[in-house]
Amino acid sequence: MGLNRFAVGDRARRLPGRSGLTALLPTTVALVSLASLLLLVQTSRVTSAGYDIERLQEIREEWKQKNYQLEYEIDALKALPRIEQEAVTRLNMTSATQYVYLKVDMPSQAKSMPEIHPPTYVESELENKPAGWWGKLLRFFTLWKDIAKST
Amino acid sequence: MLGPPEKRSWRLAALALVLCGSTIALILRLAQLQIAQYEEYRQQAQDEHWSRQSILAHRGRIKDATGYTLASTITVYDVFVHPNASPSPKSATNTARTLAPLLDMPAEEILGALSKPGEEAILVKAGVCYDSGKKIAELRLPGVQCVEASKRLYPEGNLGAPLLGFVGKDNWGLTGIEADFNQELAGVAGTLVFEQDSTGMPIPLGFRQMTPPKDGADLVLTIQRYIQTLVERELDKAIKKHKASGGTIIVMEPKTGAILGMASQPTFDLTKLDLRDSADMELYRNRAITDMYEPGSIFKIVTISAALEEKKVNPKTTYQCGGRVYKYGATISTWNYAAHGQETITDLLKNSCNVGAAWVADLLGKEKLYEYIKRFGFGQPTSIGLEGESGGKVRTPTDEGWTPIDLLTNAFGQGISVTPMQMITAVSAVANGGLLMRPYVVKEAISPKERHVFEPVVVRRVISAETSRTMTDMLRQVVEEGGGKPAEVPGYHLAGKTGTADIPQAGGYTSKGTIAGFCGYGPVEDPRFAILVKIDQPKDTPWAGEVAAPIFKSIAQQLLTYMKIPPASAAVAQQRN
Repeated sequence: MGLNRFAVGDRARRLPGRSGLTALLPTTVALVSLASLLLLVQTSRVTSAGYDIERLQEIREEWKQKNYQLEYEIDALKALPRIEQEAVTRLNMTSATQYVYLKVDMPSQAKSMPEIHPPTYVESELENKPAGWWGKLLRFFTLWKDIAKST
Repeated sequence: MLGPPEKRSWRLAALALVLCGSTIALILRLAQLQIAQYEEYRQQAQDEHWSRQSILAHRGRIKDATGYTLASTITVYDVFVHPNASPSPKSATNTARTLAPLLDMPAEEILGALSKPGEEAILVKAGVCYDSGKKIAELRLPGVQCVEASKRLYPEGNLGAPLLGFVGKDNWGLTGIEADFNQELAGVAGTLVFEQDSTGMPIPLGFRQMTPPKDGADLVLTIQRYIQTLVERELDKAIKKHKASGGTIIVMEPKTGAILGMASQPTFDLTKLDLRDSADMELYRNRAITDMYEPGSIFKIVTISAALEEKKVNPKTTYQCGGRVYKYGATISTWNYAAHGQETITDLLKNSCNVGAAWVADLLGKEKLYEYIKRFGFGQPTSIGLEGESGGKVRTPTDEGWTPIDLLTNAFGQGISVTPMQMITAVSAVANGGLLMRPYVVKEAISPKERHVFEPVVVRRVISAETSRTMTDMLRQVVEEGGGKPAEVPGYHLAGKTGTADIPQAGGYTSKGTIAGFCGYGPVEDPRFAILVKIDQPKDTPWAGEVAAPIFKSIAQQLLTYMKIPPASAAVAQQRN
């Protein structure tokens, strides 16, 4: 083996251009291998992602179906016969047999309006409050706004 | 060894012939396979290689006007077993034991199905709930197959059965709204196409294309579940009380034509449906739109409205009723053969006088009466949007067999056939100020992408607002002072008219009872509902005033409370009990 290696090396030294080829071959093989590996990795990732998507789609479908089932259960609980049964058997309710209508005077517009509570502070109180640098800044902008308004 | 040359050449020739023949046969066979049967084998190869699965679209729900679900769909599984598919009796026993708790049935029964001779798959249980079905499918038991299916459920029970209709095993609407709006409800099934290996599993990185299904739209009806329950109960109660053969009740919103409740009997039970029983076929139709009957005196509303509109009479116009009148070769008599004497047109309605109605029709003339009958929508379907609707039967002077006596009898609802839907639509036109509305039961179709709203449609103006007001006042008097008194609700002003009609048969009328009807609306100040009650062949009493009017009263009373309509007079209302 050692002899052969020597011989090849010797031949390479003797034949100019061969050395470039010998260097190119492993590089090409390495590059092709790397590319194949990358492709393989990529392919396996895509495959695995495909399976993941399929699995997730199945899970989504499963939840969708369970949702329909739950919606039906809610509808069944809200059904009129069930409510009536609950009212009669559990709450001991009975159907109304007598209706009494009472005439109620409509409240006047003013009376029906909610009472307006005055503010719990006065503006001057706000002005007298001790202010730090931010207070001064705020006042500056308020002043600026007032100036802008007046112009 | 080789033999003489002539003999050799013969052998060679024979060999060449055989070879040529074989080659030709081979070529022909190849041609047959590759050219003549190309399509067949290509299809076979494709079927082996490609899998095409259909993805069911979710059928839309049917809801009432207040948003409560009347029909919805869930996914279930049908579990089949393939007999003799288990590798060993022990395996079959294990399969049966595993399945038993999931299917909630004895293991022996499943084992029996698994051990049955034959090749055909046996349905062990249909409609297995989604969770259990999924678990069974994931277990991959030998000889067990789970097939996805849909199940239509009715949370409100048997509410509105003839209106809603039902779907077949394939989830396709067969009757009622399920059939009429099948296109909207069913949606569009999706497809999944992929390359598969020899075991039927998808090939990784192979071609895969999925067209997702388009779920069906939800339908919102104009029906309100409270009103529907109310009319169904009242109809059921009345049929039992009067031992009637059937009946129909419709509640309509006069201003829009929206149907708030619609019940008819005899009918079927949605929750106990058995499509194998052909005797039930009779029960599947919606009698409110398909069945015709002679409306009797309710039809006087149409006759008097026409005469008022044409200014031939007014409420105070008088005529003489002698109890009977002979005209055009026939005798017309009052319903109780009593002579009402001199009476006004309002009295005519209050007493339900046939002689008076015939007199008005004669005064109006055949052209005008039939023109108004047509304008009120009789003789043609109302276009409610439901299949199987009948248009009724109106014989006009241009039709064969019409005689002048028809003019007189038609005036009080005899010799003319209408559907309950036509009758309530016509009375609603009188109630709402004179506009004939197109009745409708579907308010909205809501799909994931769009919302289609069905608006009320005015067909035409049939009478003026003034005539409508006059008629309403006259019909109010019928309820408060006339034959419709049993329909009166204290504290409220309601309008209506009774109608006791004979049942026609070949060559005359049957003696086996009458049809007792009442059609009215209220409150007269602002009509919010119109109710038609029709009871077929009541056994205890034939009269509409005793059978149909009290049903109208009961429904109206509950509707007034449900719709939160205050009484016209609080003082009167306090006396109600």
